[in-house]
Amino acid sequence: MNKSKGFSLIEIAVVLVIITILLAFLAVPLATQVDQRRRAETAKQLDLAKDAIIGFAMANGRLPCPALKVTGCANGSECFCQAAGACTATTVKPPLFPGNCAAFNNFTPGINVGLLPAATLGITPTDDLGYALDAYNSTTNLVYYAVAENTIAGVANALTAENGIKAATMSSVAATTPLLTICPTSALTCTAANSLTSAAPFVVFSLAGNSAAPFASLSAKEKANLDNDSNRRYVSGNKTDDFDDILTWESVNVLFERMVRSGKLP
Amino acid sequence: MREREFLNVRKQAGLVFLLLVMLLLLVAGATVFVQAGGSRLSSIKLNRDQITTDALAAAKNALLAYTISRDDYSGSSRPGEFPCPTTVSPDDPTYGKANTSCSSIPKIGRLPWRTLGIQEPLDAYGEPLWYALSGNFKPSTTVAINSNSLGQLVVYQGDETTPLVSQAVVVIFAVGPPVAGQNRSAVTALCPTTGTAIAENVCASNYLEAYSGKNNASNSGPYTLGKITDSFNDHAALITTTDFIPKIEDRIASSLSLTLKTYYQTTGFYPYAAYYSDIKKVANNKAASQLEQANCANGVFSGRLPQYINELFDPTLPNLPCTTYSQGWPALGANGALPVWFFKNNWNTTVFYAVAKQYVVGGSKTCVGAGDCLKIEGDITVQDVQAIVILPGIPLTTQLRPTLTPDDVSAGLDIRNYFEDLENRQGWNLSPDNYIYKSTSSTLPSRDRIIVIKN
Repeated sequence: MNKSKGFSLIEIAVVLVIITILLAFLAVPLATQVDQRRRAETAKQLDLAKDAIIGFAMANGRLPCPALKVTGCANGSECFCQAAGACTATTVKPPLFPGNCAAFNNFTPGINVGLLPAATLGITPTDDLGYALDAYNSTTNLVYYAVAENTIAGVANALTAENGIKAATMSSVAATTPLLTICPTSALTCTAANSLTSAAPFVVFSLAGNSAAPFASLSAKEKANLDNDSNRRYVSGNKTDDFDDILTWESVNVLFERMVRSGKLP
Repeated sequence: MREREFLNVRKQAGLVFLLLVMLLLLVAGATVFVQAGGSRLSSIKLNRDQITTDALAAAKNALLAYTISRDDYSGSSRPGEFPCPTTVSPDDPTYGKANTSCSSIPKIGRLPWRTLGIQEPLDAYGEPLWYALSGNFKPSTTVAINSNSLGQLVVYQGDETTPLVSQAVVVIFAVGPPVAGQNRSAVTALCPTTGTAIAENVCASNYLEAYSGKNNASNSGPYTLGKITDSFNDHAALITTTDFIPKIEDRIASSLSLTLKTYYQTTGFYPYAAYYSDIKKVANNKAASQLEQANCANGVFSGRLPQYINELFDPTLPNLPCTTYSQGWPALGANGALPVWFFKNNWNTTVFYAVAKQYVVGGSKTCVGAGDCLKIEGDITVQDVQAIVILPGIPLTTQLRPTLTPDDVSAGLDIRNYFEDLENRQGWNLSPDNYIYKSTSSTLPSRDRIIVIKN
């Protein structure tokens, strides 16, 4: 009888404690690794989105407008104004007023935040409504997009109007600042002098881990990427306790070079 | 006996089993750790190599995009020109912006990523990239950039005694972690690269190494892609002359095509050419006010692209013949005239232009008889061509092109120094009867490159 006694409760308890401690040591790095993997995959998705946007410009002679979740805009498709000037009504039709996007970069959080026009660009993965998703596997983890709205050399909405860059000329567009300004996390109200760039034609970004958080609860650094700042500032930097957005942009030179290659410029 | 049994039972109560399990786990864990460790080290190295390769590729793409998109109509920046390196420390507010002057080029420095408009590319160790630029491609008002421009940087591979590349335009370095003897603090110390006392974090020799007698920390090279060791860990990407000039020629062709099409759409005709011999008056990279004439000439169907067309151009009237020459290309908007940089960089000495006789003023704009329009033979025959421009590619070693010093055009008058194909050497400046040109599918950087202009 005694030979089949097995383990005592104390022995099993000791083993369980050891296993628990070991798992606890493993669990924390595992969560970190999962987050790192998601960030890396999201960064790759944003790079693919950049390529798709540049490809769109090579084919169409302009940058796409953002998609919006508002009445009059189609799911996942770029959205335009129905009239020149301030946007009072939106449409999915080709713009009657060239390049006048329903929103460019001045967003109202929760109402009309610019999203990547995944349906227009043919990008996956998307949610059920056709809006691009990042790698965080959540319906709130959409891919955001903003584009410069400058009038350059007399050409309104030069970057989003068909052949607007050609009409304004590369040299004029290149000499225009700011287009969109990207600030480091250490200088949220940066100028051209201390920005990462003040000549980004567009930005693509993900809110990463806290995409479901209300706007009011975000840090100032993260609010800067969603607010209606008239100086068209965005923030990019490494992950910190109060900032985890992943943001990227393309050089205006790369945009030009690709459009030259496709015959849309000079 | 019962006591012995009791003792045996105590021995088998589980502690030995537990010890055996722990021993087994220890051995298994050690085995997995050793195997995974080796695999992981290999994986980490591959991952680091990939990060560094991606950073170098991003920098190279950004530099090419920058230079191809230069298009200042007034002529102060031109296609083919690269930005100066940035030579201040990362703590400086102007870090990442190109130095405004490259008078002392070649001079090695860090990549001017802010000027390029990109996110700062970092190698696998978080180090910024470094950058060496050939003096022939720096911002300058005295050195022209065209098909004849050659990179001057020499790069060796490992222990090889012959250069891997002897005409590199740009070398981009990923510096890796410090090796023995390298200090990267802000402390001021004597810098072997400059021979002066400067901050250690701007001294190239604290980041770049020497290998087999070639020093990457030197201002002008020769540089080396040495073997990675404990004392050498530089990686590099190159932009060579043979890579680069075809890209720039394509860029120039895009501008010329647009200009000629715009001219045709406005006037209904293409302009006559300037005489093939009319390059003596085009001085190297002079200011616009100093440029002399390369005149459009009546009845000249092939030769140079003219700088001056006529003085009485009126967009509402048919194209006037070339009469007097005080007027440049008509003001057809920013895209309708040849840019100033075209002449200031002597592109008109390397670009050739031919127009069909029925597509100049007074022509029928139809291709009926032989010679009415141009014809391109080769791998694919193209008939009924309205106009062409030909770019000559980089010079072969047997081809002497004008040097980049002012007014040295003697070699430029010998067509053999430009075109390899016999068909493309004939007929310049003579008559419209020489209307056949040759194109091949060859992508060699030295090949004649014919651009068809068609509306």
